[in-house]
Amino acid sequence: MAKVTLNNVWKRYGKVEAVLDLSLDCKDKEFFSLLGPSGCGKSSTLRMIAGLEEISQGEILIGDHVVNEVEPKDRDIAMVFETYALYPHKKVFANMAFPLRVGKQKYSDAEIKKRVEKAAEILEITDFLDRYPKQLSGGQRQRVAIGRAIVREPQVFLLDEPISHLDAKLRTHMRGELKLLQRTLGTTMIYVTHDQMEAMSMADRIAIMNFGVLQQVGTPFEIFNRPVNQFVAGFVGDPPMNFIDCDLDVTGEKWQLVNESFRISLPSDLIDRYKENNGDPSSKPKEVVLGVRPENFIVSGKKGGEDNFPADVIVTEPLGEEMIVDIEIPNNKLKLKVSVDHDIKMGDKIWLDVMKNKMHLFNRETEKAYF
Amino acid sequence: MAEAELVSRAAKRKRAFWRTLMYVAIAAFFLWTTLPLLIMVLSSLKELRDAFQIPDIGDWAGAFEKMFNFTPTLRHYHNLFVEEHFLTYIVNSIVAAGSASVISVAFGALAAYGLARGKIKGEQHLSFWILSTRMAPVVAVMVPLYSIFTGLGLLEALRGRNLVGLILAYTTFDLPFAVWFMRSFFEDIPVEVEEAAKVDGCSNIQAFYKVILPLAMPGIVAALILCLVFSWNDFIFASVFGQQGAKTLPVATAELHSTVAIQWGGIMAAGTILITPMLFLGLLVKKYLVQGMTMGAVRQ
Repeated sequence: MAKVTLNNVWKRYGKVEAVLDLSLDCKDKEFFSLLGPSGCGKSSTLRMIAGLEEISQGEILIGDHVVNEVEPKDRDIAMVFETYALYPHKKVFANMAFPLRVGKQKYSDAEIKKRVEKAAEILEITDFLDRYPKQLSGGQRQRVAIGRAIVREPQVFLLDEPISHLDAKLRTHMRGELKLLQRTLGTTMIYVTHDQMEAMSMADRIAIMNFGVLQQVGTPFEIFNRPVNQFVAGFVGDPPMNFIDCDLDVTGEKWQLVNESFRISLPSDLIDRYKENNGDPSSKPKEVVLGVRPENFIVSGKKGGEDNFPADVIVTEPLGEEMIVDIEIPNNKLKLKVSVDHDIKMGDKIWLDVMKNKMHLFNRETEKAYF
Repeated sequence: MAEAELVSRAAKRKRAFWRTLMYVAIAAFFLWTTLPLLIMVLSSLKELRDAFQIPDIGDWAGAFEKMFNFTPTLRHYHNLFVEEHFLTYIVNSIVAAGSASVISVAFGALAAYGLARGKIKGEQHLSFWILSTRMAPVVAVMVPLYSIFTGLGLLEALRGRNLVGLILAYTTFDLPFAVWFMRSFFEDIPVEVEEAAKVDGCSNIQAFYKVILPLAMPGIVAALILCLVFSWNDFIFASVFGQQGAKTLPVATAELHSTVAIQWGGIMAAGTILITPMLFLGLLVKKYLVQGMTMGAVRQ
């Protein structure tokens, strides 16, 4: 069994608390991503799992064993570093064979050769086995680093932003390769990244962190469609979610979101969802934040129904099939993502509706999601 | 067009002027450094009457002739080895300088690695203290060090040809230098490479000698050579601590200049013997020296 469990883990660097009371449960054979901005504690968490950082408080288990005091070499893990960390004085073959030569388990030369060549074949680096790392490109070095990790067939793979230094095209290609590799090997993988597209496209489940605190754990679908707070909602999605301050006005059975630009009625299912999670609101208008993703607006050239509101087009950014439109409403600038079939030009006035089944509402003070 | 040509010609003349000046400076520096060595080597092969041939002022052709036109003799070298027992002093120098360098670099590498990697409280103060031991003039520590050596009975041992005291004395100035010098090379090795080794299955010691040490080798070799040169050329420590049985080459050479007689031929021959090993060593390992000294300059 190769599940990884963190129970109330803290990491302190002097007075600085990098990871606060983190509890996580990564299942066996799962592709689990730690996602968050720089400095959120995700790398510190990974390094604690690897044993490269001491745990200030709490415990970490790999399988059923507490590994707090276990050396990295005895944890049966393999790690791919952001900077690849290849041994510059050894050729590619020797780099990949190194874990098999120094580990506890002794392998024969024939076995080592077999494993290295098999890994090289999977990663398509057989032609480079006789070269030194400095003779390779970034993408080739990255594959050697992965190869060095897979030869040992460990319980858990730990990857710390392994593709962040590659060019955009290669990064896109490697996302698919890494996901396929994990499925093929069937090994638990914990993947740290600051790129939400990487996490969303590859992971089975994602843990989002901010300032050392876990924000939410869930599948990509849950994270994207059911964010628990404004931070998660705004971090995932490109372009990010639009946030508009407004008031929740409840008059009997009629619930409306009101500000200088619009008056949008909430449908009954959203009202029920609100009541389910948060109870009945008071009759006084509540300060809230409406969250709408750029792709969840309906655009037309003329005034439509009751909830329709106008906006001025500032900039259009055509992206081929789609177009990003920067618009302005009183006190807000928003981004829309629409098909290029819409004939929208800079300076136009357009009319917008919000897809009600895709709306999100947040408490303006706590930033927690109502729905 | 004509104006551009004029500007280009002026620029070319300016470049030619500065290039010529540079060559003149290099030639002057070359003469300044190599001429004394050349005179010493040639004089060691000349009879005294040839060595003291002084040309008239302005007579350059005569000077050249007097310098290179002579009948060579190995008498002075013969004298040194047969009558002055220089072989003993050469062996003493090799053993003392060699041992002190190896000890200093071996322990210094471990200390430098510890300072570079270890999260030690007050590490900055510790590093500065180690470096500061090289800042004080050597003569300032002579008296207290002599007192310690006498107390430990090391000078008695030295009289009986035991070089331990001298090796210890050389180590007192080689070791801090080695630590200071090698620390930046260890710092330049990315921490991730070491961490990768630990995750791959190495203990701390294994990571050090399988991964860190090979990568730091240019710096280690450079440190070893520099320690060797400092110890080999040392005069002060050897003259104070090197008693009869532990005399080294520089001290023995100085004794050729006594109140009774100045053995010029012997002095020249001894000087040639003194610098020759260091010259060959430097040429042999100049690749490591340059690489070692510049490795820390640019982060890769």
